[in-house]
Amino acid sequence: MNKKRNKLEIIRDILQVINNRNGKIKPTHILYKSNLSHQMMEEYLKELISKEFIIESRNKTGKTYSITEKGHEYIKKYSLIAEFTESFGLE
Amino acid sequence: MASLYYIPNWFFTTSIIFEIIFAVVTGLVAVLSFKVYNLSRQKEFRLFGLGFTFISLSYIIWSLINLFLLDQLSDALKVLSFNEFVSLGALGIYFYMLLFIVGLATLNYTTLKENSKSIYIIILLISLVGIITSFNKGFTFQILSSIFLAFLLIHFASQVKRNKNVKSLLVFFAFLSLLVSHVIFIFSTSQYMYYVMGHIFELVAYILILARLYIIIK
Repeated sequence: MNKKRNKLEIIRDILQVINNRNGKIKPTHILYKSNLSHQMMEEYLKELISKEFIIESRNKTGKTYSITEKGHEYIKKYSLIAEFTESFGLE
Repeated sequence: MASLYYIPNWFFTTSIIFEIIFAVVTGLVAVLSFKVYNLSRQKEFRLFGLGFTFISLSYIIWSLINLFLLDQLSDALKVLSFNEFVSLGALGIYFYMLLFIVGLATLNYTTLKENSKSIYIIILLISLVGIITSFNKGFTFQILSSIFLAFLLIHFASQVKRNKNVKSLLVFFAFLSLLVSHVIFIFSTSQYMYYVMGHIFELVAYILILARLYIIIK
C-alpha cells in the first residue's frame, strides 16, 4: 500500500499531470489523474493559481489549466525541496 | 551585574574563528531555506530561513565584538577605558543573546505548524522579556536556549522515527550537540574550560549540519 502523500508531493503530482498534457488540461482530467477528492483538488488548484504555478483559462467548453515557468521550476527542483523538507521535518 | 563568560586567553582567537564558521553554516541554511521558499512558495520555509538568519546574525555580532575586543586588548586598551571596554563587550553579547533567542523561538514556532501570529508573538515576548529583565542574563539565556533546543530535539527525534535513515540522524545529532553545548555554557560563568567545551560541541553540531546541507545540494 502506498504511504499517504504530503502536500508537496500532491502539488508535484498535479503539476506533472498538467505538464504531461502539453501544459493544458481540463479539471476533470486533473481529478482523475491526481487521485484527490473534488473539494481537495479545487483547494489545491486555487493555491497553485495564487502561487502562480498554473494559469486558469476559460473558453466555451469550460476551464483549462496550463503550467507556468514557476510550475516547471518546481517540478525540476522538486528533489531539492523534498530533501530540504525531510532534513528539517518541515512537511 | 553577574559575569557572562570566563574565556581563556589561549582560546580567544580560536573562538572567533569558530563563531565565524557558525555564522557561515547558519547563513547557508538560511539561504537554502529562502531558495526552497522561492521554489515552493510554502511560508514555513521563509520562516525557517528567517530563524536561521537571526541565528547567523547573532554569531556575526558575537564574532565582531570579540574581534573588536581582541584588537583593543592587543592595543593595551589605549582607546577605551576598562569600564567602556567591559560595557561594550557586554552590550555585544546581549545583542548576540537576543538575536539567538529570536532565531530559536522562530525555529520552534515553525516546527509547531501553528498558523497563529499570536503564539509566535507570545513566545518571542516571554523569551525577550525574560532575558532583558533577568539579573543574570547569561544564565537565563542559556536556560532558555536549552529549553528551545530541547523542543527542537524532540521534533527531530520524531523525524528520525518517521524517516528511519542516516540523513535524519545527522540533523538529530547536530541539534543534540547544540543542546549539550548550551547546557555546558551554563557553567561557563564559573569555569573557563566549559566555554571551550561548549564551543567544541557547537562546532561538531555545525559540521553535522554542513554535512547534511552537502547531501541536499549535491
